[in-house]
Amino acid sequence: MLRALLSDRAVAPAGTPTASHPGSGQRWWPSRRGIVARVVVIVAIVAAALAVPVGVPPVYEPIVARAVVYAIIALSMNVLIGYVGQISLGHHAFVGLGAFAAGIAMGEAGLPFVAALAVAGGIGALAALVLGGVALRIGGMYLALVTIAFALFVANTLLNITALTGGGAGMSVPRPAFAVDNVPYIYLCLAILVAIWVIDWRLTASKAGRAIRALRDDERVAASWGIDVTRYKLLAFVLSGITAGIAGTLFAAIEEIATAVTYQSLTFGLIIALMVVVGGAGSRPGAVIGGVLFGVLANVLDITQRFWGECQTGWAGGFVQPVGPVPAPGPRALQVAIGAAFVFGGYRLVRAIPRSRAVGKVARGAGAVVSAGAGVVVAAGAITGAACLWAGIDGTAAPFLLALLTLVVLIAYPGGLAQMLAPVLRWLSFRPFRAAPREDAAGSASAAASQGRP
Amino acid sequence: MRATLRRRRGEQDDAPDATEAPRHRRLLGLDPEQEQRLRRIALWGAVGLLAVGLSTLSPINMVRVVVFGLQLGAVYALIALGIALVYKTTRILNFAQGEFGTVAAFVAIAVLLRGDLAGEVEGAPAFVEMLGAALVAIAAAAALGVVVNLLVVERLARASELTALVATVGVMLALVSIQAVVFDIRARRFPRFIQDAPCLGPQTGDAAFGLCPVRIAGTVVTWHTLIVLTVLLTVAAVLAAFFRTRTGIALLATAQEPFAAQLQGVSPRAMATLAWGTAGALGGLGGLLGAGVFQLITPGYITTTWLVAGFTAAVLGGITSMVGAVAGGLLLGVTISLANATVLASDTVASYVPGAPHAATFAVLLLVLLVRPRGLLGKEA
Repeated sequence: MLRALLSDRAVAPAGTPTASHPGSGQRWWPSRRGIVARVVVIVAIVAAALAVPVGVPPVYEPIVARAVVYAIIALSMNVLIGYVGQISLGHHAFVGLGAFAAGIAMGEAGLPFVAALAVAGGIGALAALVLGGVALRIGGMYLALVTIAFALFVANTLLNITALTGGGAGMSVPRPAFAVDNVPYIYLCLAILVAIWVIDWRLTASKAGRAIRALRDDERVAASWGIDVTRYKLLAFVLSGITAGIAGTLFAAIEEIATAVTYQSLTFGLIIALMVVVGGAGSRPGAVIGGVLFGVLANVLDITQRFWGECQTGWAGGFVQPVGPVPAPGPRALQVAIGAAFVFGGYRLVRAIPRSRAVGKVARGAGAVVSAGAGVVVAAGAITGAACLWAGIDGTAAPFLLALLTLVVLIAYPGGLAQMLAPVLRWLSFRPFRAAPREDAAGSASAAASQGRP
Repeated sequence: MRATLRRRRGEQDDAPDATEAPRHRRLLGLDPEQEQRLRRIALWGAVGLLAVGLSTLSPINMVRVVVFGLQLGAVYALIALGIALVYKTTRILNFAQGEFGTVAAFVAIAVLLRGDLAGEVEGAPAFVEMLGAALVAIAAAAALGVVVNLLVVERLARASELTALVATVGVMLALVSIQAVVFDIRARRFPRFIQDAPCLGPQTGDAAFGLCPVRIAGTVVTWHTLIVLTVLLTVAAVLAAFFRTRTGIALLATAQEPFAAQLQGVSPRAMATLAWGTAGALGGLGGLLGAGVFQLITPGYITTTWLVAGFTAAVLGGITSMVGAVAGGLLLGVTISLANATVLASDTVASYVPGAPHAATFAVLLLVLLVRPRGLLGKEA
């Protein structure tokens, strides 16, 4: 099985067509300029990600750390939802088990942090193996139910046993000696995130990865291709559990304490599943974006609320006041309504832009100096107004916005944010452009032209 | 990018009734005789544990345990009825079922407080007043169920079952956050329909409306327990009768074969509205009564305290059977009460098995799904 993990050879038998659909042979590879553009953008993104921990004011550093750890948890969950196709609504049980396992390893056994990470991963793998054994027999919705009950059992019974875990006071999970301060710790979490991303990438490219993903669509068909369903399902669960256990250690070490109460909340597990669904199941960048979004939205809303003062008395007020009064952060129902408007408005905007001929026309018309000047002023005013409205929303509206976003994604964009960002992600991954399927000659000609070299 | 979970509902199995229960698969690759043996061991092990638990109780405690268990179980059964109804008609596990209850409870509080959303309900409101608030609340919950169906569930008619499940989770979170925004995140007192009052001695100001509680073998049976049980049995009887009427049969037919039912002149939209409205009303009823058990309500309360056990009760009884939901609920309630009492009887055990109700719920769910997936009274798998 190790060979299956490491090998790159295709598992499909002879006779499978290599093109995704016949007649689409025409491809445009990125030009040299295009490759340079892609590299520049990727380097900029990486640099921004590396600069955030240092550039952010110290009081927000735990928030950044939490965002990174949520991204790791999302990657772990992505294996289950995206690759195997089973939903676990109690994933936070593995996270909690990992946290407490690391606490015990460092506290009672005196192991160093890295060894504790390994122990946490091992415990997470064991718990996931148990759940995987159950999942062999029960699938789909019933498995979701079992995972919730399992998580409640773990958090209320196992993690509450005073002899093991110190009961209500919690267990201390200290940071490693080489990363005691916030900033080095965030870099450690980022490094682990990257490592897990790379492992996930190589896994999906390998024979084992393809076998696991084959389980998602139809297990009987996969079995008929010779894939050992039991083994690969358990493998997927174990990998997910290891990652979740490691994430649990990192999560607890942010505050340097692990309490059972954190994991007794039903919402934690539901949010982990929603992260991946909203971000895009089966997509690594999607899972990371979803994780970060769910982790920090409440805090971001609280931070942007500071801008509201500017909207009243500062420079922004000059733009916005003439149009109308800015709603105060007070009445919460209004905030919720404004937030909902942002979510729906954003959705309509994302759907409208690719199809809008007006965008092209405006882009061309903006060459004129006068209209460009007026356009800039109007755009600045609109953006400032929107920012002032956004500033009126504080962190308590975050759960509602995320729930609304989930529903919008499920109804309109089943592939999540990754589906919305698909053209961008495809561009960044150096893949060639293909001709769109032919509807009529005119359609394909313009499609081919618009998808030409960047 | 691939769609989230692509398997379409209804197309997933060739076997005609495999959609009613989890698929029969090999447990860790054992062959049938070994599996049969494992099943028997699990079943007798559970019976043995039950016997041990029962033996630690004295007869008087037994009555108390059973009475409390029936009270819990009746609320579980009400929630399970709503879940079973939704599953029977749409093949979705409705995770928002608990929130129908919490919303109903908060609407009742709003009515009792006459619009003063930040206040607290003092004392014991008169039975008529509670009844009026309850009717408004149940109507609101039924309307909420219909709205959820129109806005969310119908648009996911062609999606897989897991997508619909995640959508109900999203609805649940949205409802909880709306409650948190409107009603503040704090625990409030929720009054019972009939309070127990002391029979002897002066009435205190608190028991402005109350009746003497009933006693069975020295154990107090609160009026709330009697009310919940009565409501449950009435509702179950009404539902059982309903499914024998023309409309009820039309509902079942729409669930089994929507297209054929449409050809017979049954409107799928009307049936779905009916099903979700009823499920909302049932959830609302469960919420009002559930909040009265511990006389407590807070945003998301019914989901966190009662929903998982409600699901377990539905699975235990057979997820498509209304009678099964009732039986499963009562049985689960008594089991959980028994587990709690057994564990609390000994301090050392209690420190090693905290959270006994959650452990018992998990154990029952696992046992049912592994040993007899169709539940006690579910149809043949």
